[in-house]
Order: sequence, then C-alpha cells, then structure tokens
Amino acid sequence: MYNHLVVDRLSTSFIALSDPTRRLILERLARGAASVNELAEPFHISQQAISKHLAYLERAELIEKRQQGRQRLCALRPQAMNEVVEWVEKCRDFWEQSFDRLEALVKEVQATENKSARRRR
Amino acid sequence: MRAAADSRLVTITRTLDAPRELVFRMWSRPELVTRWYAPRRCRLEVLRFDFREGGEFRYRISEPDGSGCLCSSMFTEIVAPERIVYTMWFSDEEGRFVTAASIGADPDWPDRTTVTVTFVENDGRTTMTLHQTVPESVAKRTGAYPSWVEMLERLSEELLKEDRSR
Repeated sequence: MYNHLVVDRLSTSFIALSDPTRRLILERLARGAASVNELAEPFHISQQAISKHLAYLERAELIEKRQQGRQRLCALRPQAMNEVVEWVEKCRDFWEQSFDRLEALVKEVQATENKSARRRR
Repeated sequence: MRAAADSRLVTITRTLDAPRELVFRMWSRPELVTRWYAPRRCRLEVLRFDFREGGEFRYRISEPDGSGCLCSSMFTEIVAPERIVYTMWFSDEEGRFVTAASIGADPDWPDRTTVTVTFVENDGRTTMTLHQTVPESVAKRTGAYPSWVEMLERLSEELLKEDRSR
C-alpha cells in the first residue's frame, strides 16, 4: 500500500513544505532559478532567515544550489516533488481501484435482491 | 474539524446508482467488505470486523509480489447510513500499533491516519466521499498546511510542461 523506501524523504519533504515562506520560494523557483538575494527581496526578511529556509528545502532535495559564473543560484529539483505527488497518487489509486470493486459489488447485490423480490411477488 | 480538513491527503468522490442504505451496507458487513476493500490485484484477509464505535477492523493486504502489511483500524464514529470515521495504523497480529521500524520501514512511518467516509443520497443515487488525512505525527510536526498537495501537483505539472517544451 505504501512505498516504504521513499517515505523517509517524504517526511523531510512534508516538513520542508509546511512553511508558507518556503512554499512561496518554491513557487518563485518554478519560474526559474534565482539567487539568494533575489529570493529574499519580496519577503522583507533577512538573508540569514532566507538561507535557513533554503537549507530546509535543500535537505529535502526540493531545491539545489549551483554555481553560475560568480553567482550561486537556487533551482528546483523536480524529482523529490514528483515523489510526493506519486505517493499521494498511490493512495488515491488504492481507493479508486477498491471503489471500482465496491461499485461492481453494489450492482451484483442489487441484481440478486431484485431477483428475490420478484420471486416473492 | 478544521485541522483535519487542512491536512487532507486524499479526497475521492464516487457517485453510485444505488440508495445510500445499500452503499453503507458495503462498509458495514465483513462478508461484503472482504469483497472490495483492496485493489483486485491484492489479497485481502479480514481478521476482525467489529462494526461499532470503538470496535476494531483488522486486516492483512498482500501484494502480488509477496509484500504486504497488517493493518488495524478503530471506528471512532458511525452514523448509519451517513458517515463512518476510523483511524488506521500498521499493526501486529493482535492489532497493536507497531512502528514502521519494526517491520523494516522508515521509523517515521507508519502513523495513524484518519479516514472519513460520507454518504449523501440524491434521487436514488448515492455520492460517497472519502477523505484520508496525512499521517498524524507528520501533521503534528508540520502544523496545518492547506492544499500543499494541490500546490505540489500544480508545480510538478508545470515542470513537466517545461520539460516537454525544451
């Protein structure tokens, strides 16, 4: 039902995602890589505070830092995000498939009950 | 129920062409539950089914590759034929909570998650809605985070689009 191997990373991802500032950083990075300064700008918080948030995201492997010329840029890493989405998909899939069976069973029970109701008439 | 709503992991809605009483019955009798409560590829054994508030529902689900798990649930709310709420966890043979570490998985997992199913009838058709929350301890550590799943999905869709256009 659950893929245990990816779960450790998942819980790190969940924690990284639990903060609104970090989610906004991710949304910003979805539009392209950015330097720490650029990321700090819209939030009116210190660069130090931003670095702390970035460390969370980096630990969860949701982002990576890379050197571009003289600048260090932050960029999204889609892999970890896809894992979270896949895991949720898996849970959803479990229920969808079970519900397909439930639906078939409802029809079966209805047919049986209709038949015995007719017999009683 | 605000906190639970915020930590929703999965929401599934299904409308069935049957009265609510019948759909509810599918959830409330072990001989019926056995026949659907897992995808078709899995083997499901219902070990205990005590359908009342505080009652236990214990089962084993095995995947075709031989992997599987023993799960236990406790019904916390039953309002026939409207609503069923239960808490799920991985368990040992006696239904006791086991940590994931003891079954060889990550120590942060498993956790209790809560499942809420509601049944609404309209014109002889029943809409069944299921919510499953994120694991409790994850929710506790992370606080409320509305719709992060949607946000992630949107992001990863965007990223996929970008990948394709490259």
